[in-house]
Amino acid sequence: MALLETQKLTKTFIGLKAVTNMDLSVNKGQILGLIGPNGAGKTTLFNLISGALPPTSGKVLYKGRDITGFKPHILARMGIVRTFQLATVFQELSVLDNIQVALHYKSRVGFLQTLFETPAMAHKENGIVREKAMKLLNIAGLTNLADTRAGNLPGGYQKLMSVIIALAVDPELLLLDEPMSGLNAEEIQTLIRLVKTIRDERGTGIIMVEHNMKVVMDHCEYIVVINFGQKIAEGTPAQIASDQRVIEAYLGSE
Amino acid sequence: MKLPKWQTYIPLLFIIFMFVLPLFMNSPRYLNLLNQLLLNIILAMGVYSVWSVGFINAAQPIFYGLGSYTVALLMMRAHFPFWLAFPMAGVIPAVVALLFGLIGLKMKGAYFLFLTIALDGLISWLFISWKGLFGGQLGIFPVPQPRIQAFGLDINFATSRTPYYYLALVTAVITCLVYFKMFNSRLGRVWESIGKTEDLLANTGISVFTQKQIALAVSCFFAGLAGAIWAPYITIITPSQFGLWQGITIVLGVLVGGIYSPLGAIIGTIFMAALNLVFTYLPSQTVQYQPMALGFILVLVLLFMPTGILGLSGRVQNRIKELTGRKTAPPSINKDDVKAV
Repeated sequence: MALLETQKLTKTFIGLKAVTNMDLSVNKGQILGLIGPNGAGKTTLFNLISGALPPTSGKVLYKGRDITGFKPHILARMGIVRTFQLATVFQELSVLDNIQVALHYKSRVGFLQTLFETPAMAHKENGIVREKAMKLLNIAGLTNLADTRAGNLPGGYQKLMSVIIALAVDPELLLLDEPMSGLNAEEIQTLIRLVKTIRDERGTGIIMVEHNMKVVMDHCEYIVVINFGQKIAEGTPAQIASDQRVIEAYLGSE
Repeated sequence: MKLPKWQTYIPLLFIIFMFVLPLFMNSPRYLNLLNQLLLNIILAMGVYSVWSVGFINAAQPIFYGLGSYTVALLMMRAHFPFWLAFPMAGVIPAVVALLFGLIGLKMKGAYFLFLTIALDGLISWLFISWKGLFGGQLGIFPVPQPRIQAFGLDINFATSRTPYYYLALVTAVITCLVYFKMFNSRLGRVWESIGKTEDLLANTGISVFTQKQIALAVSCFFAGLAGAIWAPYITIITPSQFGLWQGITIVLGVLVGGIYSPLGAIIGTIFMAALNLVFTYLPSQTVQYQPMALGFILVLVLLFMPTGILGLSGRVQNRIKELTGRKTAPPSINKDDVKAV
């Protein structure tokens, strides 16, 4: 059974068909690349899967369960976690606090518990959360920057953090929205290693929207190409590279 | 928020100071001002907490008013004892807030503000028009006074203003404790991120809407309690006491104090109270110019100290650091910091 499956997923904005009859499926431990020209509907598709937008028609199945129209925070609790193109981190908070906020739901501290816990209890709990956060930061080697304000970090580090924030939520399906944009070659290598580590160690399924063709071709096991909201091709990187429709979509036909 | 050791005692000293204050300042006039100040601090803390999740609530006095009417009606119509009506006066505004939040908190910032203004109009109109329940423009009179008779004590609120002061002080201290505990906790860190990076927060599994509902309901609960102290204190409650203007004044106080810390809400409210005190010394012909003066102050604040009085102290500290050469260096990033994965 596929980890995530979409069936005839369609989203129409007044008159404009952003995504049409999209069938998509990703397995546990698979890295799926989602590519297409600008405005092809990749981000809309992401929004449909992550619950940010309700689809006009069609279904999203997660582990065989219909999750169409679920809200993002519910999906995150179920294990579908996404990153964003722009709002990648909590700018105002320190790097460590970013991860601690991301760990918040797991630590299940409500308003009343916050009020009535003794300082000793709070101290202990804080320590546990802090330790978990440091462990996560260590995965990306960001422990030295724990106290830096996240907004002051260069873009590459923020992208790394955004993946760690998602990781803190314990994803089973990770949706990465243009994770490599704005990164230099070295940063791209670090991020890819991080993503692959996550995949290898936890068997996380990954869908990645990406413009960097080299990354997609080298590291995705399966690629889906969309244009004008429709799937125009899918297959292994080798199949995609030689696909006539893909070449047309990207370079234009004669 | 990490404070040096000696600074942690300042709030404690301040509370003790407030507790002994009536021993020296027992003229009804100052007691009255202090009482109003304490109630306003409770409202301002609520406005600040709702602000921290991304909204401006200009209708805080309406929830305060709901508390006043609740306590008055429960005591007069249903013959509840004050100490039973008092918590109810918190619960009912909180429930109204939750219902209002179902619509209001789905909006973006500015639209929420407009909706609170609409809510203010709606409930004010109810207070005025529903004469059978709320008594119309003339309001409700006289609200019964509470009386404590226990452990050999007999504190009659009818004969002295001082018990009200202590009731307001205890309520204000509890309110502030709740909020400071809240904002310094793990949950507080989450609240600070609401209104800024909401989508990201939702994607970590936090129900942003629920947190906003909690913030609004708690702020209105305490506003209602403040109202429950106000009603028997003033003995006559009328719709005009809970208008939009009062709401704007409270928001203004929070702004002037500094909107980046709950402490700013308190400082700003004290500032506004001091300003009101100054106004009372001015000749009575100047009353009509007071709103103008307030408006002028707001413009000056927004122009010259957008971080408020509290932010000003931070800026002064930075300036001193600059002058003494102890400037904190911006964090530098070393490429070697990021280890290979």
